[in-house]
Amino acid sequence: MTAAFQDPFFQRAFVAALLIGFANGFFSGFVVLRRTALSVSALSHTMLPGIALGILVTGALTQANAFLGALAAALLVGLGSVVISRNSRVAQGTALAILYTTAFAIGVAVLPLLSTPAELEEWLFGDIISVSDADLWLSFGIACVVLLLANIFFRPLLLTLFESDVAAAQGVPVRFMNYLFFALLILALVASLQAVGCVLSVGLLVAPAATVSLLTNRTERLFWGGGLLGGLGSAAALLLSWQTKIAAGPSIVIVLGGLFLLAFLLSPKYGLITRLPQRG
Amino acid sequence: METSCGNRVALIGPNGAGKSTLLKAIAGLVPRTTGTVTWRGVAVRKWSREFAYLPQRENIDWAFPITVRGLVEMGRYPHIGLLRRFSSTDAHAVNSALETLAIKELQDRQICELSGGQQQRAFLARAVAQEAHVLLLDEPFSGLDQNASGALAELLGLLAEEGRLIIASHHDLDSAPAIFNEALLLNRTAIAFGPTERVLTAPRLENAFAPINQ
Repeated sequence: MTAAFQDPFFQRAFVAALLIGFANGFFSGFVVLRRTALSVSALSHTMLPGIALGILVTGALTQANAFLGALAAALLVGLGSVVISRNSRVAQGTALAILYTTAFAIGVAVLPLLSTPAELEEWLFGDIISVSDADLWLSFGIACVVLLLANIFFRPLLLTLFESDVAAAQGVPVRFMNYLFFALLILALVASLQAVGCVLSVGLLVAPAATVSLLTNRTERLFWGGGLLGGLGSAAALLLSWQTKIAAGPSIVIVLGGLFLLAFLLSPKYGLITRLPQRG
Repeated sequence: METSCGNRVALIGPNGAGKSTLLKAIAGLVPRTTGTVTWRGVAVRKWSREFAYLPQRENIDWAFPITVRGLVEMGRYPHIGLLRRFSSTDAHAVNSALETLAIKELQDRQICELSGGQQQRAFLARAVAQEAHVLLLDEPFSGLDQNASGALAELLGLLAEEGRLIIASHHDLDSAPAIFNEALLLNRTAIAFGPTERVLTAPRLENAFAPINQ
Protein backbone atom coordinates (compact mmCIF):
# COMPACT_ATOMS: atom_id res chain seq x y z
CA MET A 1 0.00 0.00 0.00
CA THR A 2 2.87 2.40 0.76
CA ALA A 3 4.12 1.73 -2.75
CA ALA A 4 0.92 3.26 -4.05
CA PHE A 5 1.61 6.57 -2.33
CA GLN A 6 5.10 6.81 -3.83
CA ASP A 7 3.61 6.77 -7.33
CA PRO A 8 3.06 10.37 -8.50
CA PHE A 9 0.09 9.31 -10.64
CA PHE A 10 -1.54 7.69 -7.67
CA GLN A 11 -0.80 10.70 -5.44
CA ARG A 12 -2.59 13.04 -7.82
CA ALA A 13 -5.47 10.64 -8.31
CA PHE A 14 -5.82 10.25 -4.55
CA VAL A 15 -6.11 14.00 -3.99
CA ALA A 16 -8.52 14.29 -6.92
CA ALA A 17 -10.70 11.50 -5.51
CA LEU A 18 -10.87 13.23 -2.12
CA LEU A 19 -11.73 16.60 -3.67
CA ILE A 20 -14.21 15.49 -6.30
CA GLY A 21 -15.75 12.97 -3.92
CA PHE A 22 -16.27 15.63 -1.27
CA ALA A 23 -17.77 18.27 -3.58
CA ASN A 24 -20.05 15.77 -5.30
CA GLY A 25 -20.99 14.12 -2.02
CA PHE A 26 -21.90 17.49 -0.51
CA PHE A 27 -24.02 18.42 -3.50
CA SER A 28 -25.70 14.99 -3.50
CA GLY A 29 -27.64 16.28 -0.48
CA PHE A 30 -29.51 18.68 -2.75
CA VAL A 31 -30.03 15.99 -5.41
CA VAL A 32 -31.52 13.59 -2.86
CA LEU A 33 -33.79 16.27 -1.39
CA ARG A 34 -34.98 17.32 -4.82
CA ARG A 35 -35.91 13.71 -5.55
CA THR A 36 -34.85 13.91 -9.15
CA ALA A 37 -32.01 11.38 -9.22
CA LEU A 38 -33.23 9.95 -12.51
CA SER A 39 -33.19 13.26 -14.36
CA VAL A 40 -29.63 13.72 -13.10
CA SER A 41 -28.86 10.51 -14.94
CA ALA A 42 -30.43 11.99 -18.08
CA LEU A 43 -28.34 15.12 -17.62
CA SER A 44 -25.06 13.26 -17.22
CA HIS A 45 -25.62 11.26 -20.40
CA THR A 46 -26.56 14.41 -22.27
CA MET A 47 -23.19 15.93 -21.39
CA LEU A 48 -21.34 13.53 -23.68
CA PRO A 49 -22.46 14.96 -27.05
CA GLY A 50 -22.20 18.45 -25.54
CA ILE A 51 -18.54 17.89 -24.81
CA ALA A 52 -18.01 16.40 -28.26
CA LEU A 53 -19.63 19.53 -29.65
CA GLY A 54 -17.37 21.69 -27.50
CA ILE A 55 -14.29 19.96 -28.87
CA LEU A 56 -15.62 20.12 -32.43
CA VAL A 57 -16.31 23.86 -32.28
CA THR A 58 -13.21 24.98 -30.41
CA GLY A 59 -10.81 22.29 -31.60
CA ALA A 60 -9.44 21.67 -28.12
CA LEU A 61 -10.50 19.87 -24.97
CA THR A 62 -10.37 21.97 -21.82
CA GLN A 63 -12.58 21.86 -18.77
CA ALA A 64 -14.06 25.24 -19.77
CA ASN A 65 -14.99 23.96 -23.23
CA ALA A 66 -16.35 20.81 -21.67
CA PHE A 67 -18.49 22.82 -19.26
CA LEU A 68 -19.92 25.12 -21.95
CA GLY A 69 -20.62 22.21 -24.29
CA ALA A 70 -22.26 20.22 -21.49
CA LEU A 71 -24.33 23.25 -20.46
CA ALA A 72 -25.52 23.85 -24.02
CA ALA A 73 -26.48 20.20 -24.52
CA ALA A 74 -28.22 20.00 -21.15
CA LEU A 75 -30.23 23.14 -21.87
CA LEU A 76 -31.14 21.91 -25.34
CA VAL A 77 -32.34 18.53 -24.09
CA GLY A 78 -34.02 19.91 -20.95
CA LEU A 79 -35.87 22.70 -22.74
CA GLY A 80 -36.57 20.41 -25.70
CA SER A 81 -38.39 17.97 -23.44
CA VAL A 82 -40.52 20.83 -22.08
CA VAL A 83 -41.35 22.07 -25.59
CA ILE A 84 -42.35 18.58 -26.74
CA SER A 85 -44.52 17.88 -23.70
CA ARG A 86 -46.31 21.22 -24.05
CA ASN A 87 -47.02 20.74 -27.73
CA SER A 88 -47.97 17.08 -27.87
CA ARG A 89 -49.59 14.37 -25.79
CA VAL A 90 -46.18 12.96 -24.81
CA ALA A 91 -45.30 13.36 -21.11
CA GLN A 92 -42.15 15.32 -20.24
CA GLY A 93 -40.42 12.28 -18.73
CA THR A 94 -41.02 10.33 -21.91
CA ALA A 95 -39.73 13.14 -24.09
CA LEU A 96 -36.67 13.52 -21.85
CA ALA A 97 -35.90 9.78 -22.10
CA ILE A 98 -36.03 9.88 -25.90
CA LEU A 99 -33.99 13.08 -26.21
CA TYR A 100 -31.24 12.14 -23.80
CA THR A 101 -30.67 8.65 -25.16
CA THR A 102 -30.59 10.10 -28.68
CA ALA A 103 -28.13 12.77 -27.59
CA PHE A 104 -26.01 10.14 -25.82
CA ALA A 105 -26.01 7.94 -28.93
CA ILE A 106 -24.86 10.88 -31.05
CA GLY A 107 -22.07 11.49 -28.55
CA VAL A 108 -20.95 7.86 -28.65
CA ALA A 109 -21.03 7.96 -32.45
CA VAL A 110 -19.15 11.25 -32.83
CA LEU A 111 -16.48 11.10 -30.10
CA PRO A 112 -14.26 8.43 -31.75
CA LEU A 113 -14.12 10.60 -34.88
CA LEU A 114 -12.53 13.47 -32.97
CA SER A 115 -8.78 13.77 -32.70
CA THR A 116 -8.50 13.72 -28.92
CA PRO A 117 -6.12 11.50 -27.03
CA ALA A 118 -8.90 10.26 -24.78
CA GLU A 119 -10.54 6.93 -25.56
CA LEU A 120 -14.30 6.55 -25.62
CA GLU A 121 -14.07 4.33 -22.58
CA GLU A 122 -12.48 7.14 -20.55
CA TRP A 123 -15.42 9.42 -21.31
CA LEU A 124 -17.91 6.77 -20.30
CA PHE A 125 -16.24 5.41 -17.17
CA GLY A 126 -13.57 7.94 -16.20
CA ASP A 127 -9.81 7.68 -15.80
CA ILE A 128 -8.74 9.31 -12.59
CA ILE A 129 -5.23 7.78 -12.69
CA SER A 130 -4.31 9.86 -15.74
CA VAL A 131 -5.32 13.14 -14.09
CA SER A 132 -2.80 15.93 -14.79
CA ASP A 133 -1.72 18.78 -12.52
CA ALA A 134 -3.81 21.21 -14.55
CA ASP A 135 -6.86 18.94 -14.31
CA LEU A 136 -6.34 18.71 -10.59
CA TRP A 137 -6.30 22.48 -10.18
CA LEU A 138 -9.46 22.81 -12.26
CA SER A 139 -11.23 20.13 -10.27
CA PHE A 140 -10.12 21.96 -7.14
CA GLY A 141 -11.47 25.23 -8.54
CA ILE A 142 -14.82 23.72 -9.51
CA ALA A 143 -15.14 21.99 -6.15
CA CYS A 144 -14.48 25.30 -4.38
CA VAL A 145 -17.05 27.17 -6.49
CA VAL A 146 -19.69 24.48 -5.93
CA LEU A 147 -19.06 24.32 -2.18
CA LEU A 148 -18.93 28.10 -1.79
CA LEU A 149 -22.14 28.83 -3.72
CA ALA A 150 -23.99 25.88 -2.18
CA ASN A 151 -23.09 27.17 1.28
CA ILE A 152 -23.87 30.83 0.60
CA PHE A 153 -27.31 29.96 -0.78
CA PHE A 154 -27.84 26.99 1.52
CA ARG A 155 -30.91 28.34 3.33
CA PRO A 156 -32.92 29.58 0.34
CA LEU A 157 -31.99 26.44 -1.63
CA LEU A 158 -33.16 24.23 1.21
CA LEU A 159 -36.39 26.16 1.60
CA THR A 160 -37.03 26.01 -2.15
CA LEU A 161 -36.49 22.26 -2.20
CA PHE A 162 -38.75 21.69 0.80
CA GLU A 163 -41.72 23.91 -0.05
CA SER A 164 -41.30 26.24 -2.97
CA ASP A 165 -44.62 27.96 -2.12
CA VAL A 166 -43.52 28.84 1.38
CA ALA A 167 -40.11 29.89 0.07
CA ALA A 168 -41.78 32.28 -2.37
CA ALA A 169 -44.01 33.62 0.41
CA GLN A 170 -40.86 34.40 2.42
CA GLY A 171 -39.40 36.34 -0.51
CA VAL A 172 -36.98 33.69 -1.83
CA PRO A 173 -36.41 34.09 -5.60
CA VAL A 174 -37.49 30.51 -6.31
CA ARG A 175 -36.81 30.59 -10.04
CA PHE A 176 -33.26 31.86 -9.53
CA MET A 177 -32.68 29.11 -6.97
CA ASN A 178 -33.79 26.48 -9.48
CA TYR A 179 -31.37 27.85 -12.09
CA LEU A 180 -28.61 27.95 -9.50
CA PHE A 181 -29.30 24.33 -8.60
CA PHE A 182 -29.11 23.37 -12.28
CA ALA A 183 -25.84 25.27 -12.85
CA LEU A 184 -24.17 23.80 -9.76
CA LEU A 185 -25.34 20.34 -10.78
CA ILE A 186 -23.69 20.64 -14.21
CA LEU A 187 -20.50 21.99 -12.62
CA ALA A 188 -20.40 19.03 -10.23
CA LEU A 189 -21.01 16.62 -13.11
CA VAL A 190 -18.20 18.14 -15.20
CA ALA A 191 -15.87 17.86 -12.21
CA SER A 192 -16.78 14.20 -11.70
CA LEU A 193 -16.32 13.33 -15.38
CA GLN A 194 -12.59 12.81 -14.98
CA ALA A 195 -13.06 10.51 -12.02
CA VAL A 196 -15.96 8.30 -12.95
CA GLY A 197 -17.07 9.28 -16.46
CA CYS A 198 -20.51 10.36 -17.60
CA VAL A 199 -22.25 7.00 -17.17
CA LEU A 200 -21.20 6.47 -13.57
CA SER A 201 -21.22 10.11 -12.39
CA VAL A 202 -24.79 9.76 -11.15
CA GLY A 203 -23.61 7.30 -8.49
CA LEU A 204 -21.21 9.86 -7.06
CA LEU A 205 -23.93 12.55 -7.11
CA VAL A 206 -26.65 10.51 -5.43
CA ALA A 207 -25.29 7.66 -3.31
CA PRO A 208 -23.40 9.58 -0.56
CA ALA A 209 -26.30 11.68 0.74
CA ALA A 210 -28.79 8.87 0.14
CA THR A 211 -26.64 6.70 2.43
CA VAL A 212 -26.43 9.42 5.09
CA SER A 213 -30.19 9.98 4.89
CA LEU A 214 -30.62 6.43 6.24
CA LEU A 215 -28.44 7.26 9.24
CA THR A 216 -29.57 10.69 10.42
CA ASN A 217 -32.58 13.00 10.77
CA ARG A 218 -30.57 16.20 10.68
CA THR A 219 -30.62 18.00 7.38
CA GLU A 220 -27.14 19.58 7.70
CA ARG A 221 -25.56 16.17 8.24
CA LEU A 222 -26.92 15.09 4.89
CA PHE A 223 -24.57 17.59 3.22
CA TRP A 224 -21.42 17.45 5.33
CA GLY A 225 -21.85 13.72 5.95
CA GLY A 226 -22.43 13.18 2.23
CA GLY A 227 -19.26 15.14 1.50
CA LEU A 228 -17.17 13.13 3.98
CA LEU A 229 -18.59 9.85 2.76
CA GLY A 230 -18.08 10.83 -0.89
CA GLY A 231 -14.49 11.99 -0.34
CA LEU A 232 -13.30 9.20 1.97
CA GLY A 233 -15.27 6.54 0.10
CA SER A 234 -13.74 7.59 -3.24
CA ALA A 235 -10.23 7.66 -1.77
CA ALA A 236 -10.69 4.22 -0.20
CA ALA A 237 -12.09 2.91 -3.47
CA LEU A 238 -8.98 4.18 -5.26
CA LEU A 239 -6.77 2.18 -2.88
CA LEU A 240 -8.97 -0.82 -3.48
CA SER A 241 -8.63 -0.40 -7.24
CA TRP A 242 -4.84 -0.19 -6.87
CA GLN A 243 -4.81 -3.48 -4.94
CA THR A 244 -7.32 -5.39 -7.03
CA LYS A 245 -6.64 -3.88 -10.48
CA ILE A 246 -10.34 -3.01 -10.84
CA ALA A 247 -10.65 0.22 -12.86
CA ALA A 248 -10.83 3.30 -10.60
CA GLY A 249 -14.17 4.72 -11.80
CA PRO A 250 -16.21 1.54 -11.35
CA SER A 251 -14.40 0.89 -8.05
CA ILE A 252 -15.55 4.28 -6.67
CA VAL A 253 -19.16 3.68 -7.63
CA ILE A 254 -19.14 0.08 -6.37
CA VAL A 255 -17.80 1.18 -2.97
CA LEU A 256 -20.34 4.02 -2.63
CA GLY A 257 -23.19 1.75 -3.77
CA GLY A 258 -22.04 -0.95 -1.35
CA LEU A 259 -22.01 1.52 1.53
CA PHE A 260 -25.57 2.52 0.62
CA LEU A 261 -26.72 -1.12 0.72
CA LEU A 262 -24.98 -1.60 4.07
CA ALA A 263 -26.79 1.41 5.51
CA PHE A 264 -30.07 0.16 4.06
CA LEU A 265 -29.63 -3.17 5.85
CA LEU A 266 -27.88 -2.16 9.06
CA SER A 267 -28.75 1.47 9.88
CA PRO A 268 -29.32 1.59 13.67
CA LYS A 269 -32.66 3.34 13.30
CA TYR A 270 -33.98 2.61 9.81
CA GLY A 271 -32.09 -0.53 8.71
CA LEU A 272 -34.07 -3.43 7.30
CA ILE A 273 -32.30 -6.04 9.44
CA THR A 274 -32.14 -3.79 12.51
CA ARG A 275 -35.90 -3.41 12.47
CA LEU A 276 -36.61 -7.14 12.05
CA PRO A 277 -36.90 -8.07 15.75
CA GLN A 278 -39.33 -5.19 16.37
CA ARG A 279 -41.64 -6.42 13.65
CA GLY A 280 -42.10 -9.95 14.91
CA MET B 1 -63.16 42.70 3.54
CA GLU B 2 -61.39 44.36 6.43
CA THR B 3 -60.31 42.74 9.64
CA SER B 4 -57.76 43.31 12.36
CA CYS B 5 -55.33 41.49 14.59
CA GLY B 6 -56.73 39.22 17.24
CA ASN B 7 -59.38 37.85 14.93
CA ARG B 8 -59.86 34.33 13.64
CA VAL B 9 -61.32 34.45 10.15
CA ALA B 10 -62.74 31.43 8.32
CA LEU B 11 -62.90 31.30 4.54
CA ILE B 12 -65.95 29.21 3.73
CA GLY B 13 -67.30 28.09 0.38
CA PRO B 14 -67.73 25.05 -1.84
CA ASN B 15 -64.84 23.32 -3.63
CA GLY B 16 -63.45 25.54 -6.32
CA ALA B 17 -64.82 28.68 -4.67
CA GLY B 18 -61.32 30.15 -4.51
CA LYS B 19 -60.47 29.72 -0.83
CA SER B 20 -56.94 28.44 -1.45
CA THR B 21 -56.38 30.95 -4.23
CA LEU B 22 -57.44 33.81 -1.97
CA LEU B 23 -54.98 32.64 0.71
CA LYS B 24 -52.20 32.39 -1.86
CA ALA B 25 -53.08 35.80 -3.24
CA ILE B 26 -52.78 37.33 0.22
CA ALA B 27 -49.47 35.52 0.70
CA GLY B 28 -48.27 36.88 -2.64
CA LEU B 29 -47.89 33.49 -4.32
CA VAL B 30 -50.25 34.16 -7.20
CA PRO B 31 -50.47 37.50 -8.97
CA ARG B 32 -53.30 39.63 -7.66
CA THR B 33 -55.16 40.57 -10.81
CA THR B 34 -57.83 42.63 -9.11
CA GLY B 35 -57.85 44.07 -5.65
CA THR B 36 -55.09 44.90 -3.23
CA VAL B 37 -53.92 43.65 0.12
CA THR B 38 -53.40 46.43 2.62
CA TRP B 39 -51.48 45.85 5.83
CA ARG B 40 -50.78 48.50 8.46
CA GLY B 41 -52.31 51.06 6.10
CA VAL B 42 -49.86 50.30 3.29
CA ALA B 43 -50.51 48.18 0.20
CA VAL B 44 -48.45 44.98 0.31
CA ARG B 45 -46.49 44.83 -2.90
CA LYS B 46 -45.68 41.17 -3.15
CA TRP B 47 -44.92 39.41 0.08
CA SER B 48 -44.33 40.38 3.68
CA ARG B 49 -42.19 38.88 6.41
CA GLU B 50 -45.14 39.46 8.72
CA PHE B 51 -47.27 36.98 6.76
CA ALA B 52 -46.82 33.24 7.17
CA TYR B 53 -48.39 30.79 4.76
CA LEU B 54 -49.06 27.14 5.61
CA PRO B 55 -49.87 24.89 2.66
CA GLN B 56 -52.40 22.06 2.76
CA ARG B 57 -51.12 18.92 4.42
CA GLU B 58 -51.03 16.86 1.23
CA ASN B 59 -48.81 19.46 -0.44
CA ILE B 60 -46.05 18.94 2.11
CA ASP B 61 -43.27 16.42 1.51
CA TRP B 62 -43.40 14.62 4.86
CA ALA B 63 -40.48 12.32 3.99
CA PHE B 64 -38.14 15.35 3.76
CA PRO B 65 -35.43 14.61 6.32
CA ILE B 66 -35.86 17.45 8.77
CA THR B 67 -36.46 17.54 12.50
CA VAL B 68 -39.17 19.55 14.20
CA ARG B 69 -36.55 21.97 15.48
CA GLY B 70 -35.00 22.26 12.01
CA LEU B 71 -38.42 23.10 10.62
CA VAL B 72 -39.09 25.78 13.23
CA GLU B 73 -35.59 27.22 12.62
CA MET B 74 -36.63 27.77 8.99
CA GLY B 75 -38.97 30.45 10.34
CA ARG B 76 -35.88 32.47 11.29
CA TYR B 77 -34.39 32.40 7.77
CA PRO B 78 -36.06 35.67 6.68
CA HIS B 79 -34.55 37.34 9.75
CA ILE B 80 -30.99 36.07 9.48
CA GLY B 81 -30.55 36.23 5.71
CA LEU B 82 -27.95 34.20 3.86
CA LEU B 83 -24.88 33.94 6.02
CA ARG B 84 -25.49 35.20 9.54
CA ARG B 85 -25.28 32.51 12.19
CA PHE B 86 -28.13 31.73 14.57
CA SER B 87 -27.89 34.21 17.42
CA SER B 88 -29.20 33.71 20.93
CA THR B 89 -32.20 35.84 19.92
CA ASP B 90 -33.00 33.34 17.15
CA ALA B 91 -32.53 30.37 19.48
CA HIS B 92 -34.79 32.06 22.00
CA ALA B 93 -37.49 32.69 19.37
CA VAL B 94 -37.31 29.04 18.29
CA ASN B 95 -37.48 27.77 21.87
CA SER B 96 -40.40 29.96 22.83
CA ALA B 97 -42.28 28.98 19.65
CA LEU B 98 -41.75 25.30 20.48
CA GLU B 99 -43.02 25.94 24.00
CA THR B 100 -46.04 27.97 22.90
CA LEU B 101 -47.17 25.11 20.66
CA ALA B 102 -46.29 22.50 23.34
CA ILE B 103 -43.94 20.51 21.11
CA LYS B 104 -40.62 21.22 22.86
CA GLU B 105 -40.17 17.56 23.82
CA LEU B 106 -40.72 16.53 20.18
CA GLN B 107 -38.02 18.84 18.79
CA ASP B 108 -35.62 16.07 17.73
CA ARG B 109 -38.29 14.00 15.99
CA GLN B 110 -38.44 13.65 12.25
CA ILE B 111 -41.54 15.47 10.90
CA CYS B 112 -42.96 12.22 9.51
CA GLU B 113 -42.88 10.71 13.02
CA LEU B 114 -45.55 13.13 14.31
CA SER B 115 -49.30 12.73 14.50
CA GLY B 116 -51.48 14.95 12.30
CA GLY B 117 -52.17 17.41 15.10
CA GLN B 118 -48.49 17.57 16.06
CA GLN B 119 -47.54 18.23 12.44
CA GLN B 120 -49.91 21.21 12.30
CA ARG B 121 -48.47 22.51 15.57
CA ALA B 122 -44.91 22.17 14.22
CA PHE B 123 -45.78 24.32 11.20
CA LEU B 124 -47.59 26.84 13.40
CA ALA B 125 -44.48 26.99 15.59
CA ARG B 126 -42.47 27.93 12.52
CA ALA B 127 -44.89 30.79 11.81
CA VAL B 128 -44.57 31.93 15.42
CA ALA B 129 -40.75 31.78 15.24
CA GLN B 130 -40.97 33.89 12.08
CA GLU B 131 -42.77 36.51 14.23
CA ALA B 132 -45.54 36.57 11.65
CA HIS B 133 -48.60 38.63 12.55
CA VAL B 134 -50.82 37.15 9.87
CA LEU B 135 -51.18 33.37 9.70
CA LEU B 136 -52.62 32.08 6.42
CA LEU B 137 -53.67 28.45 6.88
CA ASP B 138 -54.99 26.21 4.11
CA GLU B 139 -57.46 23.67 5.60
CA PRO B 140 -55.58 23.28 8.91
CA PHE B 141 -58.30 21.01 10.36
CA SER B 142 -58.53 18.52 7.51
CA GLY B 143 -57.61 14.97 8.51
CA LEU B 144 -57.49 15.70 12.26
CA ASP B 145 -59.52 13.63 14.72
CA GLN B 146 -61.79 15.28 17.27
CA ASN B 147 -59.21 15.55 20.05
CA ALA B 148 -56.53 16.99 17.77
CA SER B 149 -59.06 19.43 16.28
CA GLY B 150 -60.07 20.60 19.73
CA ALA B 151 -56.45 21.14 20.76
CA LEU B 152 -55.67 23.00 17.53
CA ALA B 153 -58.76 25.22 17.92
CA GLU B 154 -57.61 26.11 21.42
CA LEU B 155 -54.11 26.96 20.18
CA LEU B 156 -55.47 29.15 17.37
CA GLY B 157 -57.51 30.99 19.98
CA LEU B 158 -54.36 31.51 22.05
CA LEU B 159 -52.32 32.72 19.07
CA ALA B 160 -55.07 35.19 18.14
CA GLU B 161 -55.33 36.42 21.72
CA GLU B 162 -51.63 37.26 21.62
CA GLY B 163 -52.42 39.67 18.78
CA ARG B 164 -52.12 37.62 15.62
CA LEU B 165 -54.59 37.55 12.77
CA ILE B 166 -55.56 34.07 11.65
CA ILE B 167 -57.13 33.46 8.25
CA ALA B 168 -57.92 29.85 7.42
CA SER B 169 -59.90 28.04 4.77
CA HIS B 170 -62.37 25.70 6.44
CA HIS B 171 -64.80 23.14 5.12
CA ASP B 172 -66.70 22.03 8.23
CA LEU B 173 -69.68 24.35 8.69
CA ASP B 174 -70.70 22.84 12.03
CA SER B 175 -67.43 23.53 13.81
CA ALA B 176 -66.76 26.93 12.21
CA PRO B 177 -68.61 29.18 14.72
CA ALA B 178 -66.75 27.61 17.67
CA ILE B 179 -63.32 28.12 16.13
CA PHE B 180 -63.65 31.32 14.13
CA ASN B 181 -65.18 34.61 15.25
CA GLU B 182 -65.36 36.02 11.73
CA ALA B 183 -66.16 34.39 8.42
CA LEU B 184 -65.98 35.21 4.74
CA LEU B 185 -68.47 33.26 2.66
CA LEU B 186 -67.31 33.04 -0.92
CA ASN B 187 -68.02 31.29 -4.17
CA ARG B 188 -65.90 32.80 -6.94
CA THR B 189 -66.74 36.15 -5.43
CA ALA B 190 -67.21 37.36 -1.87
CA ILE B 191 -70.81 36.77 -0.73
CA ALA B 192 -70.79 37.89 2.87
CA PHE B 193 -68.32 38.88 5.57
CA GLY B 194 -68.82 39.49 9.26
CA PRO B 195 -69.22 37.69 12.59
CA THR B 196 -69.42 33.96 11.93
CA GLU B 197 -72.98 33.33 13.24
CA ARG B 198 -74.38 36.19 11.19
CA VAL B 199 -72.59 35.19 7.99
CA LEU B 200 -73.43 31.51 8.13
CA THR B 201 -77.20 31.83 7.86
CA ALA B 202 -79.20 29.15 6.09
CA PRO B 203 -80.34 31.19 3.05
CA ARG B 204 -76.84 32.51 2.41
CA LEU B 205 -75.28 29.06 2.66
CA GLU B 206 -77.89 27.64 0.34
CA ASN B 207 -77.04 30.37 -2.11
CA ALA B 208 -73.29 29.84 -1.86
CA PHE B 209 -73.38 26.06 -2.05
CA ALA B 210 -76.21 25.81 -4.62
CA PRO B 211 -75.12 24.01 -7.76
CA ILE B 212 -74.66 26.51 -10.51
CA ASN B 213 -77.18 25.76 -13.26
CA GLN B 214 -75.60 26.29 -16.61
